Amino acid sequence: MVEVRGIETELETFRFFDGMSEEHRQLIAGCGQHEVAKAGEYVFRAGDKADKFYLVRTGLLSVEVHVPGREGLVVDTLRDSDTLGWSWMVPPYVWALDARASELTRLISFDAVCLRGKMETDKDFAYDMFRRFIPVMDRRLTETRMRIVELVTEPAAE
Amino acid sequence: MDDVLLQEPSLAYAHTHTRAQDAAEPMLPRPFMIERRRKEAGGCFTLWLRDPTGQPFNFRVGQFNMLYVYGVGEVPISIAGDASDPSLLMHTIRGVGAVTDAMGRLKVGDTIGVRGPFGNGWPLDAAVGQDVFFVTSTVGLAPLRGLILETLARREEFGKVVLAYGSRGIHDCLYENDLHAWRARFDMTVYVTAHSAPIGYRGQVGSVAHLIERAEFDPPNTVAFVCRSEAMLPAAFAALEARGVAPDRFYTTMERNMKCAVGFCGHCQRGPTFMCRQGPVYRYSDIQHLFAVREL
Repeated sequence: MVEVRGIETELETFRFFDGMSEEHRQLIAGCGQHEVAKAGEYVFRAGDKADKFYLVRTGLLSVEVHVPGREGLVVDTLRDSDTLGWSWMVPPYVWALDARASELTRLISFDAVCLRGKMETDKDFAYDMFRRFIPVMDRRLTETRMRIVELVTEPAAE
Repeated sequence: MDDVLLQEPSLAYAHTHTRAQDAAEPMLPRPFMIERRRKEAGGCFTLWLRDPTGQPFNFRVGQFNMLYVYGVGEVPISIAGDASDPSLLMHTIRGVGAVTDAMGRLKVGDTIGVRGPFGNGWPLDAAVGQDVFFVTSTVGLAPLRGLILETLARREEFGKVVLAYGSRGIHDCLYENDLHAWRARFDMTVYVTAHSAPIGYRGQVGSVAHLIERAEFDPPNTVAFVCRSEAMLPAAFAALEARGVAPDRFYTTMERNMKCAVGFCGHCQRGPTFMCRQGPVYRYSDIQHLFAVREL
């Protein structure tokens, strides 16, 4: 039998929400919905309005950079339980990269306008959200810097 | 200063083993014949060397040899081959200077000088009864290859055997055939990530640290053997520690500009340790403090 779970219950399974109060989980869940991206389908593209953020439930997403005049590059992959996107938090709310499903991927998306509105009116909630997103940003930034070091210090094909 | 590192053998695991410096003529190269050569990914090539007199060359995985191109010079190169076959030496080399470029021009049948083996080698016995986790990227797989082969030859002595490997792109995996063969085994897990990939690639893209985060193994009961550039080692160790592997369970191999390989010249000195004698393999907790010293 298939168990049907609401988004709020589902959020409990993501480490990203560890320790979050039920009240805040309800606020987030109220802005969420399930989405499915088929293999090859874009979740968003660079330059588009960043009006959502995503949690990957199952599947594989590639984060791609469009390189004018050349073939694009996959620079990262995201899998189950990963979070996708923080451009929705930072003006001008525009995606910097492409995200595309490499296989059938199930996501929970959260409406950014809805979330930003709730964060404006509830500062505790806003603080909780930033407290969770800043480590994600920090990690991605550190990882990017380390990959620059990797490029310089570890030899590759010529 | 760490007194432990001043003694020799410096570390608990560096017990009796094959060492050229114990031999009568450690500075005298033995002529070996190039029996086979193969172009590898990443601008590397592999040479298989045989002693024409038929004398076996015993070594421990993780040791290195000084390879001498007559009239050009000598460089330290890890032994990448199978230690159970002392009749044939395997070295994978990347052309990065005058000597290695000259090595790259050598042909099958040419002669090359070999001094060695030097150094302590990987302490595989420290991992008996534990999960074994190999972490490496690009050409760092060469110094680990022999260790992986030995681990698989003694497979029943270990728990899970896991390899996390990072390549720059999707066409420059070193020993791609080995990676396929290992991945096809039911008793070994191989995770591969690429730094970047063309659009449409279905595999993992990202850092090796990300592979460590997701790999399946039992952290408190794991011994990790790591071979990455010195700049990337702290990130690899941080990722292992974050998973719960204690620092006294990480081993790594270090590179320095070794010249004599017998502890006379001091070129490979790092703080209180000579890498050619007390290394090149170290337990991370023994040398962790040296990473923070910028002058070394």
